[in-house]
Amino acid sequence: MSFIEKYRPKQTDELLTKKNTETVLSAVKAWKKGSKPLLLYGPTGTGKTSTIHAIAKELGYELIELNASEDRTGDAIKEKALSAATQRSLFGTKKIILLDEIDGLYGRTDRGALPAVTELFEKTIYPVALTAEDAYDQRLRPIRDKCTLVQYAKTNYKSVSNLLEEIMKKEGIDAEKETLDAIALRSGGDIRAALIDLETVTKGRKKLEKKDLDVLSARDSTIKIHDTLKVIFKTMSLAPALDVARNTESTPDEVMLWVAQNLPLEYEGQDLVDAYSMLSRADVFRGRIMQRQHWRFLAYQSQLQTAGVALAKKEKNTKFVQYQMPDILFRMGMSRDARAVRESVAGKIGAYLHSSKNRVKNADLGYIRQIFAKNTEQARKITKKCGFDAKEVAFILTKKDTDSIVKEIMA
Amino acid sequence: MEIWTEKYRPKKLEDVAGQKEAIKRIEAFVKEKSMPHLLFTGPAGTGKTTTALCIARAIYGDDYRQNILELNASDERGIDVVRHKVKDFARLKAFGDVPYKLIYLDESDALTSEAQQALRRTMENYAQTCRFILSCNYSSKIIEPIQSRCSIFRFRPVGKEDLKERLEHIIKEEHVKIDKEAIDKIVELSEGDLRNAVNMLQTAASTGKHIDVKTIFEVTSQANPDEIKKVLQMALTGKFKEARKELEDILIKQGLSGLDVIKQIHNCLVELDLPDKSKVELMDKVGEFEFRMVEGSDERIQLDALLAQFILHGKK
Repeated sequence: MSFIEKYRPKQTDELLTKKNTETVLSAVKAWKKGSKPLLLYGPTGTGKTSTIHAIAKELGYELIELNASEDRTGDAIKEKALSAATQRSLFGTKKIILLDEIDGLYGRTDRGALPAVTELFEKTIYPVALTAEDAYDQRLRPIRDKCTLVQYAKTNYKSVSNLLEEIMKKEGIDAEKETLDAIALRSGGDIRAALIDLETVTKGRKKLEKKDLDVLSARDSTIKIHDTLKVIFKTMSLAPALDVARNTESTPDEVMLWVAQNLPLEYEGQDLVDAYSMLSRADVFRGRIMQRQHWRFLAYQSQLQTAGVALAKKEKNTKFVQYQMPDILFRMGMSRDARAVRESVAGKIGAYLHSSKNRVKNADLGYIRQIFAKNTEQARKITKKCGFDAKEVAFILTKKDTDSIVKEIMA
Repeated sequence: MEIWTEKYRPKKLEDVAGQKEAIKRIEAFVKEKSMPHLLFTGPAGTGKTTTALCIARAIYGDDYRQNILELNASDERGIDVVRHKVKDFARLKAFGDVPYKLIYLDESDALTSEAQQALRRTMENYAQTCRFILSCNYSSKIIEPIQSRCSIFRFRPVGKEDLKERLEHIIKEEHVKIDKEAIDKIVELSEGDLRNAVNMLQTAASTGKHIDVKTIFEVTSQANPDEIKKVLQMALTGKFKEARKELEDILIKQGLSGLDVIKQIHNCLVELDLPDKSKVELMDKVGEFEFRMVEGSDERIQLDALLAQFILHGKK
């Protein structure tokens, strides 16, 4: 489970925006038919959606949520939100209707959405909340005028840093406060970005130091990428997918990595196979761009990895998927480390055996590994002869370099 | 010397196993100290490198190391590196009373044909001071102009009797306790690759226990681990996410490249529990994705895409 999911506030007192939380909570509690809907607005990652989630959970309300991922035509809003908002639930459970990221509503695909929202406002018997980044967007005006506005500001970095510190304690990771401050600062008050960053740098570790932050460069648009992915994975038609290929704020290479990471979470069976094949074709074009600087191919890469992947499915996954950050960065790093050790091992054996690294890897390494595992005495002699260091011995044995057998051989 | 393939590498030409004809002609060259460039072709473990080293010893005696430059075409980064190393080496005068120095370029067929053209010029430039010995698996991959400048020797897979003789020599020297059948098994499994045979023997002997046929099977199967096969089996049962994770772990732990993995997938494909038709279909896919990997940019995407192909074949 990602940090974002795991540490999403479950109660209102876990939210970092005390004042706003109170405002929204009391408004929801006091809601009666005819009360104004709530429009929560402010920068991304400041807790707008989390506030509604936490309130629903705390009050035991059923949460009806529509977000940018779904086809939000007027019909879809009527079908899902309006019907839920006007029908009492069987057991008398109260509901709360959330239209998330309402400013993402306007586009070719959302025609007819606005009248549907207005109708929802008029007919609902349950509280309705909306979220938006910019409430003063011209296009939001007809909606804004009907709502109670709650403004969310960027979260103070100290609060973010304290939250990160708490999480590190729970995860049992030893982290310097200074490093956490740095993550909080670079998130620019965006809690979600901070959590993604934190997860990125601590994955698979028990200790976090300042230098670990080096991997974080150049990923400012990770938030927008979630919306891009939602469209790619959830749409069944060409236009929105091509739209997103054109308008996404992420680079084509970022999109490719994210799609690759999350594809198996959304698709299965034949759809998965076909979508992967499309992605693989997109990567072939990328390879040709890189090898031949043939930038014209970028269009194909970009369209195949979005529209190609989108249209590969026969059915969409209706479940909500929390997208994962591509862990390829560490994996590449780790795999690069392992490859480097493998190369140096092969080089040293090769120098001794008058052989190329390739031949050592294919013909000798499998045997030498067994000899190392079976006979410490011989392993020690070969190590001396080839001049292996502890890291290389550990690699040959597929053990950690702190393992006692490694120490024994190195002694 | 702790690795037996090195410890028991012959020092004299006459001791090279199983290449009687080639060795006889080479000995004649060495005797007259006049030698053309040589091209050794043949499969792995048949004595090409050993023969080159024996030639150097025969010509230069104990000083041989200073007079031979060993290069590996597959290890050196590009023909320019090869050229520079050759240049630096050729500039210095040979040690002792010899007319030329030796340059041994192993795995020459790893060079592209452009690189081979450059190599040809290098060979011409230093023809006065150096002799080249090139080795390769397939002479067809060596460009004509180089072939025509070399005396070509074909190295055959080492014959069963020769293999056995070498193994028995080592067994005696190292006091290895081993069944007759186990020796025969090594001979059979090594397919004429003496290096492979000696590796098998040493690995089997490294526990110090008596070696039987079973030991040999264990040793060879572990030398070619079946982790990749397990990943494929996992994918065949439809557990794609788990298989993908497993594959990643192997990549990280073993430091394998994407192409290494594709090769392994290709190798174990026929052993999978699948209908023959599925195997052939997947064979086509493996080839297709190897091609895409070479053309593309991200090995992992291609590997995952190939892995996904397997999930459709298990359910049938």
